[in-house]
Amino acid sequence: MKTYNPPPGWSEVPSRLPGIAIYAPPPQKDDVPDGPVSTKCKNCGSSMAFDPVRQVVACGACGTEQEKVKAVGALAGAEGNEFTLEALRRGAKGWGVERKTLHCGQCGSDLVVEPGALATSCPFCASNQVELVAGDKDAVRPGYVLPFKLKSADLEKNVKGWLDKGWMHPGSLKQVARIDKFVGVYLPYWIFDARTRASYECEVGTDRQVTRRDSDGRTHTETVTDWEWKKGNIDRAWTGVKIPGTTKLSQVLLGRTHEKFDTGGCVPYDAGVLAGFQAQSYDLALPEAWEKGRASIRELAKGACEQHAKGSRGDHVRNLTMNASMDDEVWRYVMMPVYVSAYKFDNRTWQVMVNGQTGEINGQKPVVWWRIYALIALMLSPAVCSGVLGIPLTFFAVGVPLLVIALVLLVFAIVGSVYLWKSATAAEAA
Amino acid sequence: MSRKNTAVERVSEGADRLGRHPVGCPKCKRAFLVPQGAVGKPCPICAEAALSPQNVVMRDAEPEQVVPFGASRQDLKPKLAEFASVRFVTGDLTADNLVERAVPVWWPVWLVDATCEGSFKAEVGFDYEVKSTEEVLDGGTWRSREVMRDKIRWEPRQGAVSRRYDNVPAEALTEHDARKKAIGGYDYRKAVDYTQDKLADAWVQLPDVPPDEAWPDAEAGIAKKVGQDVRQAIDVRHVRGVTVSADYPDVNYTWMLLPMYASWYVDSGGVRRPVLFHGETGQVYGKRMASVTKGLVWGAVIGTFATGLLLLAGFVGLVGIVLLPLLAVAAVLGALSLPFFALALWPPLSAWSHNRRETASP
Repeated sequence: MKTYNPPPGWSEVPSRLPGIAIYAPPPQKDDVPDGPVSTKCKNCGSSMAFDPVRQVVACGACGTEQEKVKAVGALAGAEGNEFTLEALRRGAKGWGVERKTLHCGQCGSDLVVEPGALATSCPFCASNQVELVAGDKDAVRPGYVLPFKLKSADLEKNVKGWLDKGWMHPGSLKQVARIDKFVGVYLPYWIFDARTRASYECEVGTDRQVTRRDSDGRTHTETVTDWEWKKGNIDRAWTGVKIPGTTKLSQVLLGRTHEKFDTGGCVPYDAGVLAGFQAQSYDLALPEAWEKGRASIRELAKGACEQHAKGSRGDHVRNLTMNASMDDEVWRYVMMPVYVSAYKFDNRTWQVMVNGQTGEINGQKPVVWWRIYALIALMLSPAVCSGVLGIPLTFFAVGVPLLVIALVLLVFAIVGSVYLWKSATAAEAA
Repeated sequence: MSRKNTAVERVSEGADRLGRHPVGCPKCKRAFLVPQGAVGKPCPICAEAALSPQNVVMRDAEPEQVVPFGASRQDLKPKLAEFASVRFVTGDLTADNLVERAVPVWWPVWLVDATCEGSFKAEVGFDYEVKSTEEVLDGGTWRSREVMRDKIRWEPRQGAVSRRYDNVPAEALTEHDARKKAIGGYDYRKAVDYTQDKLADAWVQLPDVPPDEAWPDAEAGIAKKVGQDVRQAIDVRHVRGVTVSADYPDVNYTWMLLPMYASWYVDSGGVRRPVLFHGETGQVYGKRMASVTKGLVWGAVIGTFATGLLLLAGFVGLVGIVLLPLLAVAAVLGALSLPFFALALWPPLSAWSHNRRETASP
């Protein structure tokens, strides 16, 4: 046999026929190291940290830099994982970096922190009741990381401005609220892609204006809807459906924060990018997260079917039935950058989250409720006054118009009050 | 590709070894080895000219293998009768004539032996399952049904091949593919070792593709076998994209003979038409010409009948001048004659159009 040189690393595998030698590439090795990986500088031994501004892992002491991390461009095109039985069953592979988990006894959050960086307070509830527990070795390892782009030092001014904004919040908030420190935390996210092939059937309503004449000879214009059955098929791919992997934080704040993430900036998981930050492990497992993701995707498919059925002329859809077959489902476990902090005001803890990529602030703010009540009362008062005046005046000619005006004002006041109430509730919502 | 055997250089001693006489067809330039007594008979392939003695270029070596005849001439009669069942068939095209004139002919295929020394690349696929769902929206609520989908994970494989391949067939005639298409392929697994007695009284058609020109076909055949062996060696259910890059340091050619019968008939124009049939399966190939003359005769008969009807209608019409009711009978007879006039055109036209189709077919 002529000398044959297989590619480096390839090894011979059994062949059923003599005279044929078969070589296979090395089995895909998880690049998770067996032991902890040091983030210490090779040059001076100091700790290295990820620099959000320069987007490199750099040594704070001697300035040595590691190779710059490269963004994947579009996460949808990057390698993902399928829902194999193995993937669903698989446990964690560890973090690859020596880290410890802090467990907060008050809010239940698990935080993975670097050794020596023991937090003095939980960033989510400002509680000091923390205890050290072992890291979850069964956790699935992240596939991608969206690196921080902002430094915590840059946040203070913006957050002060945010606290100061809004008439419904206490005026002393900016002075009294004490935000000690923003903690950069990589939060776990499950990001799903899937293709749906849906067939649907529904009634599509198209509005048209009809002018009718009543018995008094007056004309009225009415909107009439014509309904017709439609069938169709839609084949569409959905990408980047984000489901937070943590249930310990405010889902409302998370929802507002992750909408703005540009996942195109993600880099393949690199322990170095986490250096200098905390990272929270997921507590919403993949199957449960996929339940949520699937629900989002099928709603997207439903919306697409409705849009498809309406076409350019339809106005309404009813009695929609559809069969959607999911395929090419892919999941990615991604760490997203968030600065988290909490402040105490009026003996309550309020959470603040800053998108570590864009700087957008979302958080809870206390509401001065008497101002809300007063404003609602102020909005209702003209209607009430008009009504009170109008009732006795019904004996005179002006009474009825006054009552009509009172009714109109009441409608406006109720709409305004509901809006105000919702805004105030949302500001405190967690 | 030109027929190399027309360039006569020397008489091969191989012809004598096979107990045959070298002859050639002056019309189609094909060369044969025939038994004594076959000289002067029509060329079995083109049937247009008589075979005449000539020198031929051939390898001295005897054939290595033959695929034996699986059917006798008599066995083929039913198929030939079916072949000859053409409307207005030429009188000479009968099963009996074809059987009587049929001669057994061996036609050649190169057998190539070579050692393959090279490398291959392929992709192998492993089955795995993924969990998926079918979602149904009915009455405003969603129902999910879990389904498992089969998928294939592909992995690359590479390797080395060093194997000997013997008796890989390669075309020895320029018309190899056309002939296989006409009378069908052969089961080479039925091939047996050549002995002179297996030739019997059959004629032997000589190769017109020299070995060096047959090599690309042989190489493709060997590469195909290597690909099959690689698939077998890998022993995985899914293998795709097998490519082989190899050298063949020691190539050796022998030849194999395939059985067929050749016969002929004379069409209505006096042209001799060849008919070939497979020596194993009896699949027949040839142009089945109809007789236009026969068609014309039938047309004349029907036309005469139509004319008779018309004349009768004329006569009855004349009588109808006196006996008025007979005018109606005359009209009916006259009308009846018209379709027969039209029908009289059909036999010659049918024979002519059939012949056109036959001539145009490959």
